[in-house]
Amino acid sequence: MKVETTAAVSIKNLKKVYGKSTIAADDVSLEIARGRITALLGPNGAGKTTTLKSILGIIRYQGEIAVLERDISDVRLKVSFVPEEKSFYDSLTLEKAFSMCAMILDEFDHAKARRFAETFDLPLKKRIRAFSHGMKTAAYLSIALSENADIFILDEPTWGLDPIRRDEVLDIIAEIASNGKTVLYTSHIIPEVERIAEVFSIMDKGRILYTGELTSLTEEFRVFEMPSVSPVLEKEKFEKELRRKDMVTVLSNDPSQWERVSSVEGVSSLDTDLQTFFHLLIRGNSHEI
Amino acid sequence: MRYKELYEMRMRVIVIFLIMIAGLTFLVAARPLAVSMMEEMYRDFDQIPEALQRLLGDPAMVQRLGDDSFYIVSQWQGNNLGQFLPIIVLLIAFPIFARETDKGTIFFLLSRINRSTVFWNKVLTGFFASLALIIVLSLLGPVFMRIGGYDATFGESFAIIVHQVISVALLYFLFTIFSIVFNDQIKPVITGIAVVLAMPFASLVDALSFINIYPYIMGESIINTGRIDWTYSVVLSLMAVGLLFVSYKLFEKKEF
Repeated sequence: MKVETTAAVSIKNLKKVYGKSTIAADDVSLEIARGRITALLGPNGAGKTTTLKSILGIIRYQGEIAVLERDISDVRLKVSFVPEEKSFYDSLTLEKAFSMCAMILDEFDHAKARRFAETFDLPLKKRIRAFSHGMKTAAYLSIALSENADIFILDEPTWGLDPIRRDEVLDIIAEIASNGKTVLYTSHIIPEVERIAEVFSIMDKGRILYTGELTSLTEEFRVFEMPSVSPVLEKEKFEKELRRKDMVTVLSNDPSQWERVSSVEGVSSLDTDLQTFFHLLIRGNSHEI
Repeated sequence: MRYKELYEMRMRVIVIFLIMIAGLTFLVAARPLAVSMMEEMYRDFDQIPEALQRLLGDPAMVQRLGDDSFYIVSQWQGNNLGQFLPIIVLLIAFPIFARETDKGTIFFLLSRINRSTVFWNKVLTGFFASLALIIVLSLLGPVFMRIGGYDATFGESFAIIVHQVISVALLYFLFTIFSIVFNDQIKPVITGIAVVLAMPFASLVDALSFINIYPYIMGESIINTGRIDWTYSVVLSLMAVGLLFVSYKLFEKKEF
């Protein structure tokens, strides 16, 4: 489904090959809508981080990428990034880290960073190397979210956070988007994505399998479960089928099929939530949607 | 960004400076003892084997060591500071990029600041810090001698500084390449040490002796003839510029 908004990031035919044969991104085309939260979902090695690094120009790639309709080198100050590894200069105290950021980044709001540190209960006078994983993530977020950027690219932003802190971070991300900023966000945690993302893309093996709005998922798809011996499986062709022991879960995007299938004995209709949809897309058979 | 770089290298620079100052203080304090020891070593020069004679060098040197200015220039700027110069430069250059890559902090910089800005700020800050360290330490030789009550002048110090500045440039940009190419902090150090150790060995083969820049760093031609070796200086300067260009291109193309 095409998202009808002006793109903050436009990716066309992105291809990235590591070495001679490891394809990390294979003809990826994606438009990240302005002022919205877009989640990029996928299993490990799907190509999410490669896509983010390509957007930021950290790696070389084939294809076209425009950020705010320009080359990334022209708009770097408008982009804030939280990498997968939340490694900051750990010999610094958080206070000195904020001061350093204020010196090297034109668009850094020192006061805002201090407020975030207070929200996340981070000690300003302690060296970052003494922080726990969760505190390091929170410290990195305090810095990245205090930049006056238009686009926030967050790679696993809640990594290592406890559930309470995670909720706080998700609320902050939602607030950023409500102020007109664009958020591109990767995660393995699907309930998180369901909570804040408006648009999502699912990636696997370097390819975008699906892009759409979270709210329209239930309108577009139905999920059914049936015994593996059900005659429906021979008569109908589904978009995805996932076999587990003696049961089969199927995904259908054909409304006329929904009527036929749901009336068959032994077939039950399941909620088309993101978790089920994600599993069917990644683990199901290889029919294209 | 320059502040960040200076902040990160401050401890290394301070420790190097203090160690070298301790060495300089010892050299000044040992001035009377050093000359008498040298005279003792050269007393039976004609009787010792030729190989050992070559190792000791020109016996006329001992007479010249009686001059305070010559003593400090040859023994401090030449022998001590000169010998340590490649290691000092290596200690400052190796983490410039390798530490950021190793620790993953490079993503913070590269996602926010364009590569050319990152490169020039990092490289030039380290380069000027190395230069400042070597120049200040060079000039402190005669100053310490005067504080110690000796009648030393800067004499040939400035000429040797020219050699040392060019040597710093050449070695610094070479070690910068190692710092860019490797993704951890160990390999640039090991490779750098291998280069430093390999230089004297190169001089064992006449055809390769030009690779050994130690005599140049230590101002051998200046101490012997009083003149800067301009030909070698120009060649090394051009090589330094070439290495800087290569390091820039490598950083521009490197994927993190």
